[in-house]
Amino acid sequence: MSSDLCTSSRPSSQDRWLDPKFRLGVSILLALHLLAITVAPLAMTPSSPLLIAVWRGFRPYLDVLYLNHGFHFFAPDPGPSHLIRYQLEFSDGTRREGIFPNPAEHAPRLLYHRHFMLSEFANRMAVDDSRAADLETLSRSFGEHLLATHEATRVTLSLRRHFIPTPEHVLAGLPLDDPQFIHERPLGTFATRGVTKSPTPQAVESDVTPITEPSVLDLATTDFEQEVVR
Amino acid sequence: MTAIQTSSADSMVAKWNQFWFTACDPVMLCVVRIGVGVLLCYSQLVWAIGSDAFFGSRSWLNADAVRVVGQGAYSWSPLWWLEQSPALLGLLHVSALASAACLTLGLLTRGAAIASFGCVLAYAHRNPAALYGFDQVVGFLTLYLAIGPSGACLSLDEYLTPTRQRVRSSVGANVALRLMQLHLCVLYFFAGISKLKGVTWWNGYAIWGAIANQEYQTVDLTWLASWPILINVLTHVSVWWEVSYAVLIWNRHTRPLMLALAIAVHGGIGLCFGMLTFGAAMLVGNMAFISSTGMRSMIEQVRSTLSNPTTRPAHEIARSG
Repeated sequence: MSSDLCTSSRPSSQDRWLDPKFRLGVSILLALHLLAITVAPLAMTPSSPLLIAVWRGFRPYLDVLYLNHGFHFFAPDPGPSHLIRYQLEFSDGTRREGIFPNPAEHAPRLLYHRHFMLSEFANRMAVDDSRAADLETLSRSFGEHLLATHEATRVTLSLRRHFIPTPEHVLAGLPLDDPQFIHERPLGTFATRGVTKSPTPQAVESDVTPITEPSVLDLATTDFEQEVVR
Repeated sequence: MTAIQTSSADSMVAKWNQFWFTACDPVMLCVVRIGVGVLLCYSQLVWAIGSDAFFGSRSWLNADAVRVVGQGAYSWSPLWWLEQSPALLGLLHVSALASAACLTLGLLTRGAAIASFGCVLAYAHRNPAALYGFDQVVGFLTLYLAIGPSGACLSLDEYLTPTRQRVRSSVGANVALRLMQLHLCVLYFFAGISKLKGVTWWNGYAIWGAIANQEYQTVDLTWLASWPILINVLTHVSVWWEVSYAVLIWNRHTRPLMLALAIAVHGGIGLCFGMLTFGAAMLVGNMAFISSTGMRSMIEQVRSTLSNPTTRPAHEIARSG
């Protein structure tokens, strides 16, 4: 079936490949490797205790070689995008707003995507109540970076969810960035002195109206062109 | 064990051995090497542009953030040692770029492939939340390039090797190409079946979710809102191509269709949704399924032309008198 992919069917002149013991050893390693890369996507939620147990056995190998991938691209449905909006406050009292990823700031496109994945990771934590502490840790790290980069004294972060308009919305003349498609959730305020999170995160002043009903195409916990992390 | 069972087991072993341990022309492995090398060079340049933001002492992800992102995953990287030293960090970027360039050119290829894969791991473990499909595909392709003789041809290594010692056939090349092929099948199969859980892949509107996503959009295709049938066709073709890829790519009659759809899907995503690097990585991986016969004859033809530029095909000479 696939022999046409290999143009030479002559036996190898490399002696070690003709040694049955060498072939057996390599075959075992190949079989284990293939099992490992197959069980990685199989063990993604929802999965059985059996598959998760097998995956745990392979996890050190998969992690070290960066092979622990689920390959759930655009699945189960293409969902909304997630961005981080931030408001910086400086010692002279001035304020400045920004957002990442930002195509105007993060070029070339690969750099934009790397920033995009950061904000998408924040969302994965935001949709999982059991990871509230992880989200705070990640937000704090983002905050520290922004404070240091811009030499600001305080920064307030929020997670922006940009829902996908339906074809009907577009045909009705609504722009893709119409405020009704944007929802923001505060992540917290961080300051330079010790970079502490405020006890009660302040919601940023926003010109967008939070929406409660997701659009038809939105499934709030879906990922877009990236895989879900276990 | 009966004679029939023994014969069946022997047949399976023979098929396994034929699949994995047949010596193969390494030319397609070398073509993949050039593609992966170019992508790695570009990726390293982009990492260098964002060096402070991703590897500096005040990077987006500090050690605590990497720990919670990975949820206990392995995260050791030499880049952690260098975050206080921009000079050493710069030196690492240059070294990573140099190894990727050597891989592309096929200079000291085995060492360059191992070093490049080491760099892929170092950068990935330092920034696990800044990675996506592109990094995953380039990562496993680089690993397999390090396993096979990916510098056997189309390389400076070949140029520097005496003709009689050059590798024309290799089991290692076959093993590396088989691993690439099977890994791609795993990728497409799970990418396909994971979509079957989604509503929009069934109702035909999933592609609209990409078209109307402003953060991905590089070409405005929202005019397709007036052509729902076209959106449905694009959606259904995409998902069924992914689901069937792992089977139909092995058949010589259906393989051209699978590869043509790969070009259409990845090219379309790359051009319209701003993911050219991801699309390019997927297409480079798909080259592992191209037969080496045509590629080898094309290379020999180019070599022959370059070595004797005055040589023209007989019919042209006859026509010009």
